Amino acid sequence: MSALHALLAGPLGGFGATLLVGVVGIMGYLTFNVLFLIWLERKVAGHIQRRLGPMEVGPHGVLQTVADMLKLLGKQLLTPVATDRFVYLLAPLLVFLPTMCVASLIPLGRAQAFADMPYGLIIIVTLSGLTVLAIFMAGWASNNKYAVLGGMRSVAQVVAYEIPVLLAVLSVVLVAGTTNLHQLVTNPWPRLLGVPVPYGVVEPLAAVIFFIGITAETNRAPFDIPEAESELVGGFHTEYSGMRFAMFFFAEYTNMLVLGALGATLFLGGFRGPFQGAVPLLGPVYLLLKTYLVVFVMMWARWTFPRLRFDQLMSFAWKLLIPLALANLVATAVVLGVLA
Amino acid sequence: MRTHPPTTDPLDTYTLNMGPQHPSTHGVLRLLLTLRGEEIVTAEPVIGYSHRAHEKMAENRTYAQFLPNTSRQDYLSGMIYNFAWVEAVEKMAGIPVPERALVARVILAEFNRIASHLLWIGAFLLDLGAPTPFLYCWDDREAILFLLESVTGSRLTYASGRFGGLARDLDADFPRRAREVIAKLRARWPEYDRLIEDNVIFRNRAIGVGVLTRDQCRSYGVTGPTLRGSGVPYDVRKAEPYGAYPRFEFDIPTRPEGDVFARYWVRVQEMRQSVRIIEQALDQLPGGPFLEPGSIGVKKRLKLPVGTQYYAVESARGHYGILLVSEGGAEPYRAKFRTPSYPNLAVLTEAMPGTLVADAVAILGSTDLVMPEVDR
Amino acid sequence: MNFTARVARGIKSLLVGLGVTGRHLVRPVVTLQYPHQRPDASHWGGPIELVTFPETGTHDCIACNACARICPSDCFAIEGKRPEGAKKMRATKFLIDFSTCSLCGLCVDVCPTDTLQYSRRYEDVAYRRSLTVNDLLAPFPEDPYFTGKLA
Repeated sequence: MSALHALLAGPLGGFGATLLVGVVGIMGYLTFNVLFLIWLERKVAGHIQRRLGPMEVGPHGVLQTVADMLKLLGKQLLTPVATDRFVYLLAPLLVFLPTMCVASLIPLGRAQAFADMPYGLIIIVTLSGLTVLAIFMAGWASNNKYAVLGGMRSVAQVVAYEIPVLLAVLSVVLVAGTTNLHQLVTNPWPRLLGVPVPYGVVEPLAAVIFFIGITAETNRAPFDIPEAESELVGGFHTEYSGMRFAMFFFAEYTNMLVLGALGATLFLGGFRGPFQGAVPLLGPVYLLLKTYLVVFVMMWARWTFPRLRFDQLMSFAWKLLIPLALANLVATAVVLGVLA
Repeated sequence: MRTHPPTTDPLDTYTLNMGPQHPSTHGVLRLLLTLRGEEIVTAEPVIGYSHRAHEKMAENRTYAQFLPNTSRQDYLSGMIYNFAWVEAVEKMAGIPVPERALVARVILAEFNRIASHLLWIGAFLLDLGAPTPFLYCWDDREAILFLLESVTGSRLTYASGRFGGLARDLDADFPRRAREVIAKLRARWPEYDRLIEDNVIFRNRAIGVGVLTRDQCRSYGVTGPTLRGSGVPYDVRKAEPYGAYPRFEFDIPTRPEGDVFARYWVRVQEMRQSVRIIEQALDQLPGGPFLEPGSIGVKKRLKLPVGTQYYAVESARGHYGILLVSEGGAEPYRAKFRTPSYPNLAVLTEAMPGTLVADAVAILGSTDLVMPEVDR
Repeated sequence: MNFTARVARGIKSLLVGLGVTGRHLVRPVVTLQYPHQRPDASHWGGPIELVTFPETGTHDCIACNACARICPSDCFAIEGKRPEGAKKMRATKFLIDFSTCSLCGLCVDVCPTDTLQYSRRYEDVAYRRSLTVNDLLAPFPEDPYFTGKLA
């Protein structure tokens, strides 16, 4: 322990200490989060459908996902004969990386190493678009028609929905005047009738567009057409089994958390909350509470709505969301100009 | 979109085998789709995966022994199929049926019809990607199945019809329990309307999709809610009334559009009409025996007079007909079953080209196929 | 209908849908936790069994094979013997192969002595096909007609 302490204090310095603790902490938390979110999803689905959901493993089934994960770990890894083997094996690893990087960029509190980047937001938006590459690789390499269809759908969908997300984010950036996520949270908030309010209140339309956009980007219902099980069996992950399949699952839920956290940071005030200034540890707690609120609404919507058809999904993005987001951006700019 | 001319160029299209193992082909249907991108160029149903030779089996067993087979043709509305067989044999043999049994059959059959439609709504919404209505429908359906279990002892594949009546009587408490179930169903209807029918995503997925014209339906012999969704008010219960149906008042819901939404709407309305019939039947339920006194029931071998006879009922899927040919023996010489799902499936080759894969699933779901009934 | 009104109606329908599922979220569950809670099977028609009549304390199977004759699936294997001095036969072997039984109840209906009934069992399981053969005489280890306690 003391050796580690010496190492952290000496050669690595303060930044190194934060780096190490940050990486270990974030990685560990993301793993825990996936287990929790899958359990939460099953519970939410269960209760919405007047069932109890998992109840047997652990109190109220909290260990059910752990058991499932162990089962998936123990399964034989099957590789279909006609796959493009290298790409097929690479895809489940690659799907996880961008999400991981984005996760480390979300500011958790006042002192955090990576989040304090001048172009943090830009990096996040760039990275989160990379997940689709892995999904398309998975679909293409599987050499399965359903998987290819799923991969194609995913690419088209993410390309379409990145734009409204970006435009919604830009509206907030205009108001905040910074692309540094840390500053975005700590800067004085805009005042509405003299009261400081989070950006979501002054940019409600952007918040809604952002929410719809991240739901589509994470392939969640009603936008889950890349893996629409009633049409494409499993979509891009049809041919994956065992732990490789679990990696896609892992990525989906981590993506939900990360994009939910981004939404919370942008629109709901991030880690800021009452007494947070006095007790810095409350910062991550506030952020997570807000994140899980966003995630819960995503789950709620998933278990309520039917799935959109592919062409409807595209026309919804191109004909409604993007013009709306553009109009919102222009309106924001005009209002800001007038106020200034 | 959807303006391309039809193509058969093999370089332009590819083939997708949907099924026989696929989450939304409802059993073991195989759809041979020729696709261009996601657009369907041709769709060809391939059937026969659950062929069990019910017609041949009928030739090799007595009329009573065939009773358990009947409800296994369409396991979702087995009661109707079971009674159809019983009534066909009764009609040919001239066996009288007591009033109480006639009315009780209507009650049980209509409950079974509602259960079948409820399951369909759930499964259809599942095809469209909404898993939650499925569970709500099953909650309602469970109440009906429990009620039917209390009368017949079975939940799904009933063999409760007997030549000349029923296997078991409706107990004294049955009307009260039946009304409780009806109240439960009634309370859910507005919720279904709000959750499903008004939903903008559902409407966009259903309206104008998979249109079947009256003429297409006629030329393929389509019946049931699929036909009524195309605006033809044909219902065997009205067209050739059988059993106790003539004495009850009910409407035939129809819609002219012929799209997926029309078929959904017709089935939802049909459940309300079924409840109407059940309520009248419960009010009129006469006393007396449930099996004709002195009737042989199933105790003796029944021999039908020489002849040929056709008997049709309205099942949850449409016109279900039984052609019985007897040569005077204890077994039919020939039994032919005209099952409604077969033409309802055949017509899909007309409705699917030009739509997308997602639409194909919706159209397939909207016709309410039961594959064992197609294959028999 | 103009575009804005359609969008507004669409958004409203989505919110209404969320309201419906949201209300169900907080309502009590309707399912049974199966191994811990048991369904009411009092009307369930399970695998058949022999009735024990209170007057005689035993079944009344006369091995007439009526059930075996009507059975569409040939489930039954019945043998009988006439006790000395008795008029009626008594069953000495009554096996039913439940793996082919479809629970149609025709045997219950045809039984001339009404000694067959549905049981309430609904969770019979077996790992081997041979275990699905039910011996209906197993609950009756001793037949009072054969031991001379009843005539």
